[in-house]
Amino acid sequence: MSHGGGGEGAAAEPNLTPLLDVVLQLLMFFMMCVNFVSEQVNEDIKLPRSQAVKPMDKSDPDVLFVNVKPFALQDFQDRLPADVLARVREKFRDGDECILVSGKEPMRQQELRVWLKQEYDDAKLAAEKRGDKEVKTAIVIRGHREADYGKVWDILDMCKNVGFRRFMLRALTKNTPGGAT
Amino acid sequence: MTTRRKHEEGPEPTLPVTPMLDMAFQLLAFFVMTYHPSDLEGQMELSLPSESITQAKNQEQVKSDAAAEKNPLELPADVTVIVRTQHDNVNNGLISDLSLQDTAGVHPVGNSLDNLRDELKKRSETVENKENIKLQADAKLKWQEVLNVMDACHQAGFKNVSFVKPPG
Repeated sequence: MSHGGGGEGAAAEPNLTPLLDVVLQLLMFFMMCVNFVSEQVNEDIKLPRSQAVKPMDKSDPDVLFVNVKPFALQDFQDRLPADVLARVREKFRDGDECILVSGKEPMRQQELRVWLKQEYDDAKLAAEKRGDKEVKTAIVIRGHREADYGKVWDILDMCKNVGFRRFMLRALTKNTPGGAT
Repeated sequence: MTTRRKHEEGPEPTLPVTPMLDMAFQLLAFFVMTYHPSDLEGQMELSLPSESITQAKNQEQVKSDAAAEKNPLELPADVTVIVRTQHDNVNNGLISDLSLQDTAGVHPVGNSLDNLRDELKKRSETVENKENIKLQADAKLKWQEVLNVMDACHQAGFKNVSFVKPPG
């Protein structure tokens, strides 16, 4: 270096190790906190807000997600193949109740009943093999905030009639009135 | 080999930290930008009595559990919140009228959730069943409004809210 021509001391280098430690700790924090969207969770559902909800128990693997929302064609416009989109367009009009479950086309209540029955029968067989008396599968209802109460009630009633006994309602957490907003 | 190294006066090995730091910063920037702490999803459990429990063992139980057998989405409760909505281009799907039903009859509480909460707090001191409450809402009520009513019930001390079939 030109300015260091007079002496022969060691080159002054900033010590990056503590900085790297801090950065890696921050990185670890964000990696653990990041909430990767699960395959079964539909992003189009705008969940209602509630103060009564508790943090999710992600250790429960035995769950079925049922998403309910008013149908909007633009939600599916660029996501579905043309033939499926044509079927969906025939079946629904904007504002109709639309039920979304993982790996299936948008459904109406009658189709949901068939699907739930199949899932219940499979779960019952698996439970019998394990030696359990009851099916422990939980139905997670993710209702859009604009969905009608009557439609959600119909789905809960249908699940109950099929045989499911555990239900969970999903919502976004809302701060309490006395707490920070 | 080891003895030869001991005697050598070569330069100290240095670990190149800078590229690692660059990469760590990039990853950090990605996670900071994709982090949304405000939209945390939660859930509330709505357990029903198991089939083995609902099966009556004698005639008296059949009578007392008749309502639950008719509709297992309902838990036995002393108070029912009735929520009405109108589709009049003003309150489409929003709460238009709230009332409380108990053994003494139906008592209107207006359309304010604060009023409902205060009334429920008063009732919770007198009723026998302080945990359970029923909610009967119109079919066209928006789901967000249902959860707002459930919040009011929770704040008044009723922990278990069960749903009654919508009228009509």
